[in-house]
Amino acid sequence: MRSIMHIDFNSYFATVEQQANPRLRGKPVGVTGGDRMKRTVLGTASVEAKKFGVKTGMQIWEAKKLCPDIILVPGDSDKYLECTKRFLGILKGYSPYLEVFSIDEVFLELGSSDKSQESRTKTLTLDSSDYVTIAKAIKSRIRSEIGEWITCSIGISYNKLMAKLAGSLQKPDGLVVIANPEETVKILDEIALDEICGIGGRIKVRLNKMGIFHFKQLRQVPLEILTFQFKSYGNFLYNAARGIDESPIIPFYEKEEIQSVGHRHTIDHDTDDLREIKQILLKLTELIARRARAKKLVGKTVNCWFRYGLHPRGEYQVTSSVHPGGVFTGNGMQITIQYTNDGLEIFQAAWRSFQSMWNGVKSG
Amino acid sequence: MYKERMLEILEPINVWVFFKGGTLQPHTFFWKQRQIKVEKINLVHTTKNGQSLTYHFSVSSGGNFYRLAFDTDSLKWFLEGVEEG
Repeated sequence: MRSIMHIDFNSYFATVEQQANPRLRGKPVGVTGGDRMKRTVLGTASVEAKKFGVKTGMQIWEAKKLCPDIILVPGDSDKYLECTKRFLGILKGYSPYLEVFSIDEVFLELGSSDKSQESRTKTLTLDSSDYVTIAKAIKSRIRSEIGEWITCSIGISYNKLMAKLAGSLQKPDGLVVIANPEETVKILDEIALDEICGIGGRIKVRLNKMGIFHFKQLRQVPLEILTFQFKSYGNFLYNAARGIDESPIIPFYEKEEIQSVGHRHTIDHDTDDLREIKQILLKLTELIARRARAKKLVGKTVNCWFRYGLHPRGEYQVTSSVHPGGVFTGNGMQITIQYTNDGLEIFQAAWRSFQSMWNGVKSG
Repeated sequence: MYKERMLEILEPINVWVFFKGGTLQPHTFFWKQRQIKVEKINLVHTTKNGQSLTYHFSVSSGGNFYRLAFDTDSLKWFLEGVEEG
């Protein structure tokens, strides 16, 4: 049986800010997108803010409504990347099989030093108490080498899906082991469908419409019906309901090549000033070209996308219950050019796309 | 709003430093004719501006918060942010 550890930093950006500035500790903090505060969403809400119902990804006005005393801190990506680099440095010492899932979330497979996936799955001999000892050591090193305020939740299990679920069961600063499939079934039967990574709100609604509200009910649905309803995703649902996940750890040195490079920017006011829009687009395309050149990439497909504040009916929508940014209507267009990583060439293609869409919006 | 609590500045300052475990750490800095002893370094991170590397030290003293920056290109120290009172 494999042994996977999932490490998830709690309210990461907010916790790092609280680590840097102790005057923020114990207070509700929301990390925002810097100077573009009016339009952005919260990148992270601190543990204290979450107690008021504030959630990561929530619009700022909503957060302020729930927690008027929330302290908004402009995000500082350099600070967070530095902390991420440091904790990756710590974790690499425990196993080379380290998958970076996001800036604050990793999977670590412990065991064999042989690089093949097959041997990794066969040679584990440590029992769960050894893993708990390792997890405690990791927590302790994070506290001493990065900062005493920074905590993480660790989940340990026999596959990635269950390790992630284990990590989510106790927050903040949790440590949960799901040791075997019997425990998995017990836990699955106590949680909601969307508590598992991979089942979102929309899938939950579709399952509910089929009369499925719990994993116990999901396990009773034959694979054929799930694949008929959800196509290949039905396989995932079938396995998830049983805690089965064969997906391998993909270490950073085996990651697939980058398929695309993109940038987006939200401005703090409405505009139809083409000069201003052109300036923003030029900056964005130059950033894209710079990143592409740094990664020694060239591309030929330019996708330009923008959003505007009016609902199609010509009215402002005031709810953001759909998803952050759901009050806006978007428009996008794709154009193919010669392979390039030149900022001006990318800009010219993007500007052509934008003008075409803009004229359509104006005339429509 | 945090920005209102935090005074953002970029003022050259004098700093006494020491070396611990081979790394440079600020010990005391001088600002507005005050000598401020660093009681705790909460977080250190770096930024790059072109080739120039800057170390940022988020520090505490007397319940106040300060952010110091050391520009490795010019070997100068700056006070970047202050939250006092």
